[in-house]
Amino acid sequence: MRFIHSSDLQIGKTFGFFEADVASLLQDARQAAVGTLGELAMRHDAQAVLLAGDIFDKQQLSQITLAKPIEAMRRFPKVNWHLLPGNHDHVRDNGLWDRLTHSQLPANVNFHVAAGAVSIADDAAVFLLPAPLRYISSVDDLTAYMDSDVTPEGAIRIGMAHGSIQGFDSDGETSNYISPNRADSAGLSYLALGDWHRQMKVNDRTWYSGTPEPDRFKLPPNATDSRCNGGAALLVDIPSARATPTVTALETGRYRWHRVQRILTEDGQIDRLETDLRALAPNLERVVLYLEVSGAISLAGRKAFEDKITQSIAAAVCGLRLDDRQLILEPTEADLDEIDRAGFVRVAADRLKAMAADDSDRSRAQIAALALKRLFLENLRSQDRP
Amino acid sequence: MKIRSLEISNFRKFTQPKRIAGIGDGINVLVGPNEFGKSTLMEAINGVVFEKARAQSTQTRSFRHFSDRTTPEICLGFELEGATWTLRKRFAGQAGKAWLQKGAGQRFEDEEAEAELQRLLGFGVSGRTTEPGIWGTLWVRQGESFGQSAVDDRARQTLQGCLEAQVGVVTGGSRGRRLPDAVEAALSELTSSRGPRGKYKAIIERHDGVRAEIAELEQKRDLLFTHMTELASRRKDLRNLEHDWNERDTKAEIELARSKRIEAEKRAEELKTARAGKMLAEERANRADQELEARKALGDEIGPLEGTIGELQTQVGSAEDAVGQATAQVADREGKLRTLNDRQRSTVETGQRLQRVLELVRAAHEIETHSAGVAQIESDEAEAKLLAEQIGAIAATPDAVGRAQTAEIELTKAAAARDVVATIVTISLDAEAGRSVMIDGVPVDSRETTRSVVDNTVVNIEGVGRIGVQPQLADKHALLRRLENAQAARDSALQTLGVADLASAHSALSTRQGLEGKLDALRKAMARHAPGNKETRLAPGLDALKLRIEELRGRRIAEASALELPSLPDLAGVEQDIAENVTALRQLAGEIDAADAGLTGPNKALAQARTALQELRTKLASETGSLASKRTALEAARNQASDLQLEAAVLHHAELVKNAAAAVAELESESGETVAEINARILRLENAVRAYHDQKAGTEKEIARLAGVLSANEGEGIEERLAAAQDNAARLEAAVQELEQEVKVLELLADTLRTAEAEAKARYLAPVVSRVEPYLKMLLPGADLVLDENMDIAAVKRNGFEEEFTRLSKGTQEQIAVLTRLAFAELLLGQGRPATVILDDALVFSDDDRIERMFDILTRAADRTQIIVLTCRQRLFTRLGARTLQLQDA
Repeated sequence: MRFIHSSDLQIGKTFGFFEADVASLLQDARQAAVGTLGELAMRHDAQAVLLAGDIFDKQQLSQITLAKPIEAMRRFPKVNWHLLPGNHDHVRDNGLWDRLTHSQLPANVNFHVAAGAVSIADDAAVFLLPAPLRYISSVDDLTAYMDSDVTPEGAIRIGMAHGSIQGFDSDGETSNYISPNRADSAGLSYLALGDWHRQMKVNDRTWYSGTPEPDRFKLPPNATDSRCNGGAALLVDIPSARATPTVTALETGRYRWHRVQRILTEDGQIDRLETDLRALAPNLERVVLYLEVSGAISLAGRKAFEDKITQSIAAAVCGLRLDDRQLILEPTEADLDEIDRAGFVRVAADRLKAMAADDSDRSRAQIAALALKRLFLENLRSQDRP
Repeated sequence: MKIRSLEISNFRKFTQPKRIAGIGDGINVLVGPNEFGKSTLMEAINGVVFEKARAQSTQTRSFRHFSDRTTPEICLGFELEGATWTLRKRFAGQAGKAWLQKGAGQRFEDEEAEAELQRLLGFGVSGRTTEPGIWGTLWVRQGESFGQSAVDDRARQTLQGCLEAQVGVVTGGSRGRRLPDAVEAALSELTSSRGPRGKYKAIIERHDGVRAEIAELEQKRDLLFTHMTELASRRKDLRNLEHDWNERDTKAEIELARSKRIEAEKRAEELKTARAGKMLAEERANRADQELEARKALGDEIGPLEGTIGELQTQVGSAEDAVGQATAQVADREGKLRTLNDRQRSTVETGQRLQRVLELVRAAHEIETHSAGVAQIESDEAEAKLLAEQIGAIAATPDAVGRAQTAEIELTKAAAARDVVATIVTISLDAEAGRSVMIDGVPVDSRETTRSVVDNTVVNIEGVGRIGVQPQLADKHALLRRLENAQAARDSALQTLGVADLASAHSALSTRQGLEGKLDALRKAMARHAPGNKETRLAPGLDALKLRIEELRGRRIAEASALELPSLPDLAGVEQDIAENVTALRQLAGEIDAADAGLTGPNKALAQARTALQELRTKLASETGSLASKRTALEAARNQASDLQLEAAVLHHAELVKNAAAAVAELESESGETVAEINARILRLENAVRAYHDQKAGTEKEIARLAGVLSANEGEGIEERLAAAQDNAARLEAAVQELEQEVKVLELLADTLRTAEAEAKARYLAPVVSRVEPYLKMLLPGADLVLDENMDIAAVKRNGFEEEFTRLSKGTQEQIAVLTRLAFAELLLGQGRPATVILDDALVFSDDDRIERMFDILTRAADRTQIIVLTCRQRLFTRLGARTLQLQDA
């Protein structure tokens, strides 16, 4: 039995922290993940795709949003799709699963809205034991039933659940606990888990696939680079009921999400930052970047930062989220001379500088620093004019 | 520069060379009346300094003399930087000449002279136009002294040079100006005094809009989820309902109850019948008891009733007697009253007849009186007719006689007029010769004849011949015509009157007037005989009188016949009868009143007696009827059943009641469910069936409704729309915050720039202000001057309030403008460049007090600055106490 394990597509998720056009690209990418999974299944000769919960981001989605992934699945008639309700798309009366059931479902799409072993292969004894969520959170371990749910001797038992593994440092989910030993106790060949967006192996037979398309600026623990979680699926090969499955990670993400933190202490570091950012990927268009800068730079440095980073890099990447609140402006004498060496404008600049350095009123100091920056830029602009 | 002398020739009005010399330091005054040429001298100073000698401008051409067009020449002596300079220019177009000489030494000519002059005084030339710079500011032409101090760019540069030498460079130059402008512009794109505008406002509004949309969507989403929960709950309800219900058992239970009910109904019917039987028996027993009782009561009632009737009959007899007596008394009194009434009626009738007789007698008297009047009037009328005829016969009315008299007078006047001019011809004849003399063919018949002749007249003396008289009158025809006309008029008047002369006419008139007097008297007498009578409505005049007589006669005949009077009694007799009748009537009335009063008592007594009798008779009839009916009833009852039979029936019915009660008690003692109990159960069970079906149908309906609502709304993707709106709101909120911050940044920046700029200006202008200040304090104590950066006077600050300069009075404006010029001159002096201030007819708007203060100020300033005052007001400027300049022949 060979299949692809994925989860947490969260179709319908929105990205309010980006501009609408960027957000739209990211939403499209989530929809496109289904097609990517289908293509990978075809390429690797996998019979099925298991989606372990949170296929949809919300209960009340528009008919189009609901239907799109189903239509994408229809494009791969040789692949059987097994969909499990998660916490975002849990089962409820007249909920989205009911709606989908009432719509024109293709034969290769299966919903698993009730617990209990079901045969999922015509030619072999393969049983899927789903643990769908009926509520956003559940106190009980919904996989417990698998221990006692009997299947024919020698059949391959594949569990599918959505929640947190007990004892692991979870992503912050505090319910829907799943026993880490469930695969063993229930005699499962493989337990396909969803909920965590990072791909993770719990044990030989228990894996989190992670989300196929990244959606958060969250770095894995002990990260060595700036790449965030998500963007991959798992190819699972189970030769027989007792054999240890072969699990291979597959790249699926359209965009790579990076989170870069940098402290700037002198203007010269800005060029270095630009070089590093440009080296993030060969194709920056596929990069979604969260840049957190702190430290202190001069007005001239700030001008360079805006030219090189907030304009050039922002244009190069798909989306840039910049947090420069901790990047302090430290106007230098040269900055002030640039504005004017004498006269009332210089007097004003000196006063703003003093205000910006006054810690007793932080909000005014911040405004004063920005005012000084504005004066600096206005001065440059006025020099450009005849 | 200090001006020392000025010499002009052939300049405008001045043909002869003129010279002003001895212009000293301090104040110099040149006094001259209007048209003296002060402004021309001012033009000469300006011209020699700023106009090139070879210039062919309108200005230089205007320097020439008005009529002889000779070549104007100006020479200015001045001191500059310790040296004495002489500047001379001849304005002759291309042939113009300029000389500039320093003391007795260095000398420049033409272009060199012009260039050196320009360098020395620091004014500019661009193309053909001269920019007089600071001199234009300090040399104030007539009529330019008030208002702004006319600081042009070059003057400003000069002043700024002075200032910057003192306070250093403080402004930011053109760049300094552009920055605040750019900041203000950026700020004004985002906010105005009314708050956010433009892009900022639009984003705030969009944000508000999206938030409203979110609230709406959230509400919708919550409702949708509530519906989903509700639907699940209803489905559970339905399942529970169906699970708990057993329709078959319930229906069997109803059937059982119904069969039980039939038995119970039968039992109930028997009991009902027994109870009815018992009630009937009781009723009959009661009736027998009552019948017996009634029989006894009837027998008891008859005896007392008979006694009462006997007593009543006695009372009725005495009451009838009383009524008879009262009736007799009333009849007696009424008879008397009736007699009185008859007498009264007869007396009244007699009185009425007497009145009619009286009227008749009076009418007869009136007929007699009126008939006598009529006879008199008729006689008068005959006489009047006669008189009228006589009057008519006389034509001499006063008017006609008047006219004859007027004609006579005119005739006399005409004759007199003629006689005045006429020739008097007098003829005296002898006795025998008389018949043979004729005048104009008419024989003269008297011996003495005098004629007034106006026309040719011939006197013919028979046998002698003729004498022609020919009066020579120019208007003889007119005179004659007037005479003839007058004569004709007089003759005609007399003829009308039917008399020969005027005297006869007067006599006839007198006769006529006498007759008219008589007629008038007669008419008045006639009127007195028929004067009319308002009381009897008799109109005045004979006709009315006659009619009245006829009417009275008619009435007399009718009344005499009605009253059957063959002859009329005399009036006194009738009046006596009437008086007696009235007395009789009065007496009768008194007697009738007394009789009426006497009848009241008996009438009342009769009425009471009748009432008492009526009451007794009614009572008697009632008791008699009652007795009769009771006797009849008793008799009839005894005929039906005897008293013994009644007593037996009572006993029988008591026995029947006892039996019926026993039967009821027996039936009641039988136990078992009642029909009502069974009915209640059946009703309850049937209700339960109905309620179950209703509830089921209701729940199913609600499920269908909720499912319908959900399926209608689920396609909308509420949560998806909500997420999109929330994202949008987040973006807009970030944008709002960003713009909010930008506004704060721009406001702080603009404010800081403005403050710094204002401070810089204040510092920069301080030297000028400090020089003006002492003078201003002398003029307007407690006031401060506000200059703008262009050295223009912006305002005056008094008592903490700024008054815009242009709002001040003309006088004050001018005074302050002069002070400012003095300050500018001092500023130049401070840079080692003394300058002359020229005031041409300045301070014209100043009042007495102010001009004195201005004189003090000028005097104080003159310690350091040369001031030349040109004025037409000698007496006023005498008080300035300045050196007086003279315009002399050169």
